[in-house]
Amino acid sequence: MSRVVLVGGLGGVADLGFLALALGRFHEVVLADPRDRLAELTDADTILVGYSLGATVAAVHAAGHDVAALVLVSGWLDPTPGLVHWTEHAADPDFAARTLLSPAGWAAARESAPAARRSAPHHGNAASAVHRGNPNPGRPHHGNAREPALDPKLVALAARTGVGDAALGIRAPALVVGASLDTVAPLEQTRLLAAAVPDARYTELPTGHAALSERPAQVHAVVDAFLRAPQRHPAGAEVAAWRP
Amino acid sequence: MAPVSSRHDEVLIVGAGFAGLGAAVRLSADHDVAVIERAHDVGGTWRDNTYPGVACDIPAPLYSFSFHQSPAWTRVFAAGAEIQAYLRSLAARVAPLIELDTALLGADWDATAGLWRVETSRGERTADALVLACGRLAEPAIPRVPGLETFPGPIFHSARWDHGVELAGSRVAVVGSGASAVQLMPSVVEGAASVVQFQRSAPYIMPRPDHVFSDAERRLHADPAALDELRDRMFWAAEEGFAERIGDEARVAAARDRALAHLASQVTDAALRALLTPDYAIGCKRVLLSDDYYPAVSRPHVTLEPSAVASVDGAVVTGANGVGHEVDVLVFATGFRTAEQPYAPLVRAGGRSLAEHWSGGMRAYASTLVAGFPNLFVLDGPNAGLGHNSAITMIEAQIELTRRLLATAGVVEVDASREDAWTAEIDHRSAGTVWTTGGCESWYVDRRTGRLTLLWPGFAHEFVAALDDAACDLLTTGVTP
Repeated sequence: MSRVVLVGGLGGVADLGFLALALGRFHEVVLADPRDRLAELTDADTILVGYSLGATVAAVHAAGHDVAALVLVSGWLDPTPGLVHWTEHAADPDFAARTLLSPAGWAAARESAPAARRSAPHHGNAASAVHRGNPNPGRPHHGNAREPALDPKLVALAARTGVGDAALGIRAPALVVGASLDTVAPLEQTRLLAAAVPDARYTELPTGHAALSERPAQVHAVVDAFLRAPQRHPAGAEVAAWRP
Repeated sequence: MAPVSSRHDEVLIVGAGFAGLGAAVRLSADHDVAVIERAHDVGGTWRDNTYPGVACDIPAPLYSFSFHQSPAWTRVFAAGAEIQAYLRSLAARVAPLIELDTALLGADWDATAGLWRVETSRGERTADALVLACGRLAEPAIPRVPGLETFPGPIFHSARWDHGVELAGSRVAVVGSGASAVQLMPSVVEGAASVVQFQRSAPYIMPRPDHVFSDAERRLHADPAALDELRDRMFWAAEEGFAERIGDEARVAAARDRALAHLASQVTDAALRALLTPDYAIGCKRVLLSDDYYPAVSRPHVTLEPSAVASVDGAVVTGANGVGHEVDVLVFATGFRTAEQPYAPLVRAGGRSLAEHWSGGMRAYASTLVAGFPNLFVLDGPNAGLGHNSAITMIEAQIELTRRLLATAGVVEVDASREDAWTAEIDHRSAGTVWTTGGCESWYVDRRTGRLTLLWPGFAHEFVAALDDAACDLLTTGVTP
């Protein structure tokens, strides 16, 4: 049973519930916030998974520390004007909700949630919520995309932080997961991230930026397939997502 | 290999239901294939179940093979007849290979000749490989009720519906409260003079988000890419439901709340609502979808008897609670024999039958390959069922495994250590899940051992990945131990 550290994005650990539950059956799962000190949570046998800003944090960490495998979901290589624009307006929940999800994901989220809940502030994703062992993550998804409780400092961090040249220092086998309808982290940036990490393969899912809200089971599926045999596909490979 | 009897095939498939027809389509591209079917028609489960209201609880575009998609579905949850029409269109692709009215009587592996010697109701034949596609919901289970033979009126099982019996104006007893009962009750109560339903345990029932596809939707579905995307969306949405089975308390509670709110919104009578409230954890048994069952059982001429049937004396059917009801027609919606499949005693290798091999419960490596039974492929067998997503995804993964292994030279055989490891993995995955701890009796579990033998205790995508791994592994290490 290996340890998996999941690093969330601007929504903190609340984004990670489904993935934590699914991976928690066979792994020790630790949830981390982008502000947590990963050096205290990981060692060379750790599987490190980052989402959004958490992908940046995870990649930068992996450039300086050995980990067993690295998964970067909805990440970017360098901040772009589009990302900066998003962070400038992210405090507006309507804007955030519309732009985080694909049109189909937005429609599904509206259908499944009572209107009253949409404007309720999201809370409970405490700044340094780290659960060790098999977590019991509660009701993790859909809520975040609609109701981001955004820490302005984190938002500012996201707007100015990229992996950049650090990507070259990552030695672990990596999977980069992009989202074809991502308007927050433009697809080109996710693909550049995949191209910059030496031993990375790339998979694309048909979601907006909030892949963990829209297709949590499919994110788990691509992560699970990668972890079964990280180097089954060679570096640089584009791995088509399996379809039923 | 030279034919050693009058009829030899590279691959003999037993059963022309979903699995057998799909296997025939996929395997006949590279092999001489024959399909034997004991009944007079193809379709398996969907041929047998013609009771009023029969339909599938999985969205139709997803309840079909990726290699045979249909733009013709008229609604999300297709009626049985529509699925049977789909299966006929599948059968049409392999029609010359199908031999109807031909039952399997026995199959013995001839280790010397390296082939299966098969006895059928139409004579003997041989095959290099045997594919068992006999289904798991094929043998109706009718409880042994004392006095049943004294019942003067029509008696039938839901999977053998007698369309010649007029229910309108009759007093009807329906035994059972599972998927079939819940689907057939609304039609039965419609014309009947009175209906009594015997229920051992109440099912959890969710709203059924069905809708008729609009003309625009159906035209869109004619575009294969659009249909593919729809399947993809449906599949991954269904996969999320598995989280309710693996101990996420918040999701389990939310699912239970949804079901009980559905009950409360449809049944106002507090006493009836109490009878319809399950007393076990949600997900332990199959969760049903219906918008018209609760209203049906609430009708004034309908009685819900919270009891098994204990005895029959003439026209009087009496529950274990001692309450008797005089009825004209007796309908058993009591499910199927699942844990001990009727084909198992017929298939033998090395002096041992599958039934003997499975005396501790069904087991197979990759849910498909049985140790000691060379060139045998069991579809839809041990731990290949699914509660939360499409069973057809599972069957297709097994067919794909079979196809890849048959493409290699040599006899395909796994040793006991592989089967043991797979079985241990199943037991590990099912420990602590709602199926083994949820406090219910379900057809997923083998009563002899308490082991989960019918259901795959994981995500569907994990089954697909595990079978892919198994194929890669066997093709690397060699298919013969």
